[in-house]
Amino acid sequence: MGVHGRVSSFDRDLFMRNFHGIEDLAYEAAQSFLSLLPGMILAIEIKISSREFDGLQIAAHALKGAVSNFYAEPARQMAWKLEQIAHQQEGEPIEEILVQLKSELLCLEKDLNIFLMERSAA
Amino acid sequence: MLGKGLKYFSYGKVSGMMGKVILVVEDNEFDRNLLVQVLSKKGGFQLLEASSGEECLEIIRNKKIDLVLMDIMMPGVFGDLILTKIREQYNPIQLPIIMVTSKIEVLDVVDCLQRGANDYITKPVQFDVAMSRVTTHLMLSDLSHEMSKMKEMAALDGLIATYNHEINNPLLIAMSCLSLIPNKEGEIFEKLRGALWRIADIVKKIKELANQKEVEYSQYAEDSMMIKLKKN
Repeated sequence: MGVHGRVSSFDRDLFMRNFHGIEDLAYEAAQSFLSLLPGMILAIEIKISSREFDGLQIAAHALKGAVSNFYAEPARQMAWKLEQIAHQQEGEPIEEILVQLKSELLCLEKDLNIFLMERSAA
Repeated sequence: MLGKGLKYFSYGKVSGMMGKVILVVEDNEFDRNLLVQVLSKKGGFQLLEASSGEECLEIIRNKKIDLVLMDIMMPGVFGDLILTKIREQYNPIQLPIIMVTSKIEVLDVVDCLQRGANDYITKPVQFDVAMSRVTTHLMLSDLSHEMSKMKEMAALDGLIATYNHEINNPLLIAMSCLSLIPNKEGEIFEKLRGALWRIADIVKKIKELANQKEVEYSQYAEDSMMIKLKKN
């Protein structure tokens, strides 16, 4: 469970299990992702505003891949939806999906920061 | 970009795998860096990186690579087309290629396997699985090379045995006849004696090849090679 009784946005157990024996890299990965995340979101926003669907598909695919390393299913689903819309160049309003995606990414960002803080405190 | 691609990470963790060079081809910087870091920490590999198919081909042209880990879906030229280009030069034994794919692209996996990929792993990459598959394919490649060498030596052994048997008998007859020639002087006799002893010496050296673990070759004619024999 995350803060305020909210279910965590990523599966910490699965994530740490994957880094068994190399736990330091798990924390480095979280830090690296958090530093790259603003750029990933910006890339998506730019592609959406310029209606560049090919570029949007690539950017959404990259984000989907990155969040999937954390077993962050809600964020992964949203990124996948965006990727599909960009691929088909039609579907649900892109802006709505973007709002939902950013909301999930905000949750993920918070939970990863908590994850890192707990490690620093330990 | 090529300069950026040439990063070496080497840790000696997996027995027999030290010095093996793995090329990770992935356009997503985060995924690529993560895989490189994990493989370097868990295994005993040297890691190279490419962020595109074109960069991958450039590195393969210039460096000896032992295994390629390649994302199927990359911008520009897709991984499956790069795979086809690599297979025009290297077969699956010479250069194992493991494709990395999201679950949704599993249908593309069949296409890649038909194009010559050795194996695939799905995203999110489970690192122990990736390590096992990388190690297995590197070992299979090494084993195949060893077996090829063994087959080559076995064929050579057979040839040497046949050659010795077929050449020795007439050679002995010729040398016996030579010893029976009454007039053992003269240029022709000396040339004949020299030539027969030279044949005997070569037969002896060819027999010694059977004790060697591998043979060296040198260019003979335009399209053929000859085995190097030990000099006196």
